Amino acid sequence: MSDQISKHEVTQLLSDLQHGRAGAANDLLPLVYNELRRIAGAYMRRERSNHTLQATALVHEAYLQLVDQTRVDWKNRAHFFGVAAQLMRRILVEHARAHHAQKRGGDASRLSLEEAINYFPQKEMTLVALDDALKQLEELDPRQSRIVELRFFGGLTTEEVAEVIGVSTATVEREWRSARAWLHSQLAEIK
Amino acid sequence: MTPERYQKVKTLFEKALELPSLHRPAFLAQMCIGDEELRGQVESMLQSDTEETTFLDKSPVDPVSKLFEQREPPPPTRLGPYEVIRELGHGGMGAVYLAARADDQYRKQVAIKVVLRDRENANVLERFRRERQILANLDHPNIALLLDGGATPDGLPYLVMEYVEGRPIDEYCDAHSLTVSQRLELFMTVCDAVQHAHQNLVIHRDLKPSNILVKKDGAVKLLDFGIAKLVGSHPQTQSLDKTATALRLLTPEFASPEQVKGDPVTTATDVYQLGIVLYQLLTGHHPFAYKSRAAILQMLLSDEPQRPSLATTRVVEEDLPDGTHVVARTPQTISATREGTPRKLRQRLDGDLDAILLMALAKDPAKRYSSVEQFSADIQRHLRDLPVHARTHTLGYIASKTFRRNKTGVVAAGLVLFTLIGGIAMSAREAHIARIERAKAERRFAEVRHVANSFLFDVQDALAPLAGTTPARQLVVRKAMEYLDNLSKEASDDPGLEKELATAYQRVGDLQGNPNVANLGDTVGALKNYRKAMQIREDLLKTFPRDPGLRRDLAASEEAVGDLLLTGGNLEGALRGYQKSQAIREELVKENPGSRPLRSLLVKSYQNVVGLLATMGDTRRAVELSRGALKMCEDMLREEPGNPEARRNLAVAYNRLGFVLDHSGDSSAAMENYRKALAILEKLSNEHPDSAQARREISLVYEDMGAAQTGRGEISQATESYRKALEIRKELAAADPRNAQAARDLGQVQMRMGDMLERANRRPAALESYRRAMDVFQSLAAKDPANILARRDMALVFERLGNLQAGAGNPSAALDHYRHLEQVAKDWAARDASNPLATHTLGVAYLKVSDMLSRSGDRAGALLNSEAALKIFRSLLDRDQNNVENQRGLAWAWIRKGEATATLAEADRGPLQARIQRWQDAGQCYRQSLTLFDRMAKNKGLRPADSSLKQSVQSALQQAEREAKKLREGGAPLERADL
Repeated sequence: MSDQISKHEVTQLLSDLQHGRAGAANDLLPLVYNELRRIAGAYMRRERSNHTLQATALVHEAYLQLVDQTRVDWKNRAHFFGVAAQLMRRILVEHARAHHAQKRGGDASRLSLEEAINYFPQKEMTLVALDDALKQLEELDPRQSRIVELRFFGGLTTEEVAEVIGVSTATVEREWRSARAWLHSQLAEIK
Repeated sequence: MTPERYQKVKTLFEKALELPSLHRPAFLAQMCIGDEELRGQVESMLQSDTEETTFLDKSPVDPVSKLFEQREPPPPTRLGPYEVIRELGHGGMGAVYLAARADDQYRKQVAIKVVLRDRENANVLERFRRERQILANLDHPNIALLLDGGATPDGLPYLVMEYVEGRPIDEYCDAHSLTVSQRLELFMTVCDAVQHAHQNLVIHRDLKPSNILVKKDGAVKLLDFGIAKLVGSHPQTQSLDKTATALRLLTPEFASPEQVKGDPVTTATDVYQLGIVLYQLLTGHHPFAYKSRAAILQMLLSDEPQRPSLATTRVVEEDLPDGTHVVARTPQTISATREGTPRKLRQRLDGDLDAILLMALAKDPAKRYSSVEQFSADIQRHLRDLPVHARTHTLGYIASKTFRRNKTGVVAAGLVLFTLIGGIAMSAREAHIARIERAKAERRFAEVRHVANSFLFDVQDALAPLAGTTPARQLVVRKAMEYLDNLSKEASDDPGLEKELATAYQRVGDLQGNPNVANLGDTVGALKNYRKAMQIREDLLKTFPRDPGLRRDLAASEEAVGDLLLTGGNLEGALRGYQKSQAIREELVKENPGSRPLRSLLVKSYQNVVGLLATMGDTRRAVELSRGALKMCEDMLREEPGNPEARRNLAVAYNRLGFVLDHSGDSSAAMENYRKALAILEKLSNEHPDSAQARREISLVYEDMGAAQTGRGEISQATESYRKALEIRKELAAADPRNAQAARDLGQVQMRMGDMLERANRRPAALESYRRAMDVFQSLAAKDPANILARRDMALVFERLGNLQAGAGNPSAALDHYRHLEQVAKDWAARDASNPLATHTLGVAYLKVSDMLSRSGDRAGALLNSEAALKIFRSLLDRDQNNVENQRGLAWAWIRKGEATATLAEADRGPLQARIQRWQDAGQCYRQSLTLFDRMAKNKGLRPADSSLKQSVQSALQQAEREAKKLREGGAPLERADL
């Protein structure tokens, strides 16, 4: 997967994405996901006793494997992490669920992508609740939900989010503020 | 909550935020009269907003940008024979390093320019090559010397240049507090260097202080011919994107109007840029008092530069990174390094120098100095107190000359002048209005363009996964179409927009009918829009015949048309589309034989054509072409031995060839190719035990193998192959229980295994396989109400179960399955209303039910169901007239209705006239079906099975006519010919 051809393809797809070809995101997603699985698997096989691999680091490694560094700028990069944000969200939320289940006596022997990642365990249920609330928001206002996904799960800055969804930074800020307020009011209800 | 409701909440929230918090309760009370829930929602959001930072602001992941800060590629330590000492600077595409020859005992320092980014981009390399060529031809004491050039072992091209240890000209002048006259002298040396370049047919295009260095000894050196251009290189030879690239490379502060507009760049461009440099050297300011860099480009097109003598009065504030403002430049600071006081500086610039600079900065290149030499000569005249040319061009000068030369004619001249000024003022005002109108129109245009795009991409993507949004999606597509059609009227001379339009039409086509994605089922509309996209691309190709991107897009359009026609059963049309796409891609590959993505696309074209030829029965050509695709895959692997992707592609090619050979009747050759495919895939899978994809490919080959073996009658071997495929699918599904695709794959192989067992007449085992497949699909459908595929798969299995029971002579059991089929099809059609396949399936279900009812003696029920089928296929055919599958469905519906009517006629013991009428009706039905067969033949969609069916219908028709005739003549009814 990390050979030059795929690199070329992924780099081309990023450029397509930056120029607005929507299908490029769909083409990119499986490539990124497969690479994530491969890296996570490799980490597990190395049997590190203390695998505190951060989700971002995982995605970052995938990025280095998949993208030709000499041919991209920060905008391409933002688009890559924009696509990866969905996956990061999935990884983080699944992990939170799995970790929670494990503590309740779930199957601890299962080896999966999710377990190669260790992030802040004390917040895991907040994260699951946030994911649920985000799904609701997605139905009400898809763009807001995407902004939260990109910022919170994708680790993107306001400028990068603006680049990925093609709006001004002012719009991102405004939408973020009301999305944040709405999500809080929802999460407060759950608690 | 609904999206509309949420928008309301959001708007109120945002409005409330704009108010002081004390006024918010009253505002909300007023806005939410009678809607306490709304008020509660907004209040709770406002409540949440009071916390400054919340957990949502602390992302659990590290900021992406931080990750990259430490990861910039390290600078090279050595370039060819040169040792890198340090980086001097870096820009968009590369970096400049200070270096010295390792083997040189004097260690003379040089500057090395290296391409770091984008080095696979042909434009960048071309630019680099051109800079080298240009520099090699320039030999001037004020132009930095090219010493050497080369490429590192890993292909990094570099240029070795004289290292100029100096400061940008503006810094140098200020640091040495040069007077205006001294600055002018220095500037004239710059002009000499630029003039030398012009004499060698080189335009610099990027003149700015940072490219003009002054050494400690006062010598000027001109640097960076990175985007320089040879005079007379023809704009037509540039491909579409070059102007955009050139624009991106511009430094906005030093761009000329013609560069911004994309007009031809000439030596006058360098005059303009030199004008800006001199303006800044003399006044300390930019000719345009801009607020932000983004505003410069607009201002330099629409505004006049400020008179230099007035610019000296500006006070400039700058924002510091911490957000505070400082006063950066005042008339005092500026004049301190020039003429001493603001008043002296202003007087020094007023008059000649104002005129010289404004002439150099004229928007119209034709109104500037016609050469750098003349620019420089006018400065020279000014320094020698001679009248300057720039001033003789002003109105006042002409007026005063006229006045002085002929006092008696002053009245007439005054009149002329008045008219002249009036005319100028008028046209200036008109121009101003026109400019405003144009700006408005352009803004509107951009908005429409944006709306159309966001309708087509964002809005569609957002709606597609939601159930029940089909009408909304149709509306959105229709609206987007209106916008697009309007845009296309204005696009005729804007290739960038036309390209975008073609992409948009293509996208509309996809949304309407691309069989490979969720679509609106409007195949006719889809075809129309694909053709529009094709038309635009073909037209553009007339202007840019070699543009590879356009040709690649055109090939994709042709392919999409092929896919679309194929689902409509128009095999010949589909073949034409695929072959056109193939021809374009072949040409592209011929021009660029090394490109792997292009060759992969060509292989895809080959495989499309191969599949179609095999279906159309032209197996000889299919095999031939399939071998061609195989050879191409072999070549690609040979170039990169061991590349997993290339190996996988080769395996797929073997698999495909095997499939075609099996269709051609050569099943032993087919088996041989399947084995080759397996050998590659097994090895890949062993090397990459994690790769689910390789495992899946293996199971696909086993499936095809099983089919070939079934054909050879090797049932136990076939069973073994299917079992292997099944095992892999089970393992894949178990490894990823949430993966719907893996589950579906498992169901599919069970269904195919059932088909094989059914063919081998092992009905109980077949039944068992079908049941297992059904379990998988049913649970998928139950888990996900939006899963359309699962419903389609269920329909397929119910049909097979029904056929199995019907074949075993159990019409009542079969009827049961067909009724289920009807239910699933209805459910599917309800969720996927516009999908013709769903409706088609429902039609088939009615036909099957009608058949079973007639076999079990329920004649009325049979007639009813045949009429239901008739209605469905008629509506389908109305939507898509030339669709062969719909024609076949309608033909069958007529046959079933004819049959049911004939059965009723046979059993009818009523009045003679009514019985005659029934036979005549039956005959009419048969005739209707025969016309449809003719239409299918016209569309080249007739299958061998259709022909024999047609014969049966003809004899049934004769039978019905005979019965009617016999009854009319009072004879006894004959035995009815069975279909």
